[in-house]
Amino acid sequence: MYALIFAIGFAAFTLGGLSDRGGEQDPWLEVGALLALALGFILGAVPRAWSIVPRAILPLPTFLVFLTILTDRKPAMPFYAAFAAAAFYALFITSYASFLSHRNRPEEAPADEA
Amino acid sequence: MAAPAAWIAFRNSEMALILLAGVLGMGAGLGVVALRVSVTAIHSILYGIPWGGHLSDGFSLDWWQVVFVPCGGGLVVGGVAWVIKRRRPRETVDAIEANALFGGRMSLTDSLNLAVLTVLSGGCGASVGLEAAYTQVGAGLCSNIGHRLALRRDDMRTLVGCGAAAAIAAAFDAPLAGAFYAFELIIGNYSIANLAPVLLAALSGTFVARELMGEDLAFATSRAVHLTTADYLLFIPVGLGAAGLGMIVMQGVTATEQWMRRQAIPPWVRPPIGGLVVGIVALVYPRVLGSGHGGIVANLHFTFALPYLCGLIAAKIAASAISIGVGFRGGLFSSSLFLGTLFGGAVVMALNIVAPSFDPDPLVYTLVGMGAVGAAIVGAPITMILLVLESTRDFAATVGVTVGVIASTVAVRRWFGYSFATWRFHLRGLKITGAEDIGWIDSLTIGRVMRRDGKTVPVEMSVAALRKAFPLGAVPQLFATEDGHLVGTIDPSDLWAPDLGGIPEEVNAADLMQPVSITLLATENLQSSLRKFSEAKLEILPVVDDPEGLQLIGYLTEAEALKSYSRELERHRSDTIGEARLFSTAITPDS
Repeated sequence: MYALIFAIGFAAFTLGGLSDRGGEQDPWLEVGALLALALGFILGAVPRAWSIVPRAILPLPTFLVFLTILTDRKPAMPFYAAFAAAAFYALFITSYASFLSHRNRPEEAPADEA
Repeated sequence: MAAPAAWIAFRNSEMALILLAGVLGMGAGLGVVALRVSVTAIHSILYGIPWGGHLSDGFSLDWWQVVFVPCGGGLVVGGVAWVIKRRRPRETVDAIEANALFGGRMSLTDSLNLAVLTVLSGGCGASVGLEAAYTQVGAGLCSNIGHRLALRRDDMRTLVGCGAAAAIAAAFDAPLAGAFYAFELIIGNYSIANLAPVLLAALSGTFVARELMGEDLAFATSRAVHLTTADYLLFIPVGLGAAGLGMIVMQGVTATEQWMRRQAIPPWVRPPIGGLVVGIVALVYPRVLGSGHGGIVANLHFTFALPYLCGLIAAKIAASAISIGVGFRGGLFSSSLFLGTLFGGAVVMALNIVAPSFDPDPLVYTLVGMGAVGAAIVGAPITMILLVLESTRDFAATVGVTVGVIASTVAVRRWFGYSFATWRFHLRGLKITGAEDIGWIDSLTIGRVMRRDGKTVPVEMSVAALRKAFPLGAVPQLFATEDGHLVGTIDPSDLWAPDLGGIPEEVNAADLMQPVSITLLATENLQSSLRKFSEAKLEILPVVDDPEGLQLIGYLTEAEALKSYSRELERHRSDTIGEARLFSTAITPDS
């Protein structure tokens, strides 16, 4: 539930950022991007071992989406700063999904007891 | 030295309290102006915001300002907070806590320290409101003066409310909202006795702020609104949605705060880290910086696009949670108003998509959202309704806001049960659900009402000797001791029981006594003693020095505990409503 609320908030955050850019925009592409990110976050936060797969994929699209948002910022910011900030968003969202996944994971039995 | 008669007359005079409230209200208004000017000056220097503008107005800020000013400011806030903590390690008592637990006693030094930290936090762009500092300074000033004048407990509580009322009234140019903020949150009730001082203080604060800064309707609207029955019906789900948003904000902020406290990061390092994160959020949404006043006004006059509104809601919640969580000082009052306007705007935009023919008025939905989220988080519904009335002077909009505020308040009470302030008290383990004075319960200790003439007898003493020493009806209870320690209680009527189990010379106290299972401490309050009487199902309980040593120092009867408790409750109630003569046992000035 918590992951779902956070994913909705994250999707809204991303969509708002994308929609606030100047120039021509493609609303379908924006909605597709944020749905993919939200779904990636929710799957990455699932308390199962396989959730590492969506978490491994999540950083790259997040980074690209935020790099798009930040390079279109007015007044403009240098590319290195936009790169660093986009990297922060990508790392944060992946780490948070990982945190939620591990926090809610059922206790695993030690190998010698299995 | 006896107090002069004139002084006693002054203390007992209602007019003196009213005049004092008026004068101190001016002081609180001055404090608000000073704090606001300080923050504006810092914004002007650090961000280049024109005088009178707000950080959340949406100015084009350079990326380095957005990222590094909150971070650098966080370093300053962390350092100053560290120095203050070393000198004054205790937690600052706010106005609600002071009135609930300490009879209105607050430290002015702590209040000023908190105000300095809030100004630095708000000045550097942290997403916090200044209202907490305003009320802290106003209430702290009034408490300090009231203490110096040795005012009575209830007058102190009223005066603290006056300080907070004047501060909020001056901040929003809204005296009625300020007064009801005090009644709802700081004093905990409204009575004829506290109406005059609180209202006069609120008016004084407002007039001082108006004189110094000009008339400034916080959320002035340029046109009247027109509402239909469908609008009023829709305000109910808007209020419920606002309640949900408010609960998410309260939970989110406190969860972030607790999570940060658990991390092994020194407290002085947290604000710069948090400032950096808030700055990175503000790269996408610069309006999250500061308290949000500029954003509220902007959103009232032109509504943003729906995706941007939704994103800004998420960003503002995150920025507020991080700011407060990492240790920036400030409150959620104005943040909740800003979030409310965004929520109301988002509802209108969504309605325009779902039902384009409905054509809702964006202004009134924005106001309803503002009042409803504000009421959910701040926990003061009438204050929010009056704030809208006074700042818009639009009666139709106010009636609409009332519907949303009622729905929101009922929902939060039903599903959450706390405002932001009381939720934080709850997490700190304090039993405060409002500003109602419960401090007197702790001050009414068992030591004040217990009887000290308890009779102890050694366990080996025979019944014959006991009968001789304590004739029937001479004492209500006997306490058996061994090596000076209490080991049991004896009902004196048992000494005369026909089925003694032997001859009186051979049966001793140890054979008759009931082992001690529950004891009282002199430092415990009467309320806890009543619980113990109920648990033990006994009419008399021994009072001991400590639970280990079990040295008897007195005893308490249930009847005496009940009598003292209800007498104090009655006196407190009569003071609260300002009608001392209403209750027969209350002490009146004439008695």
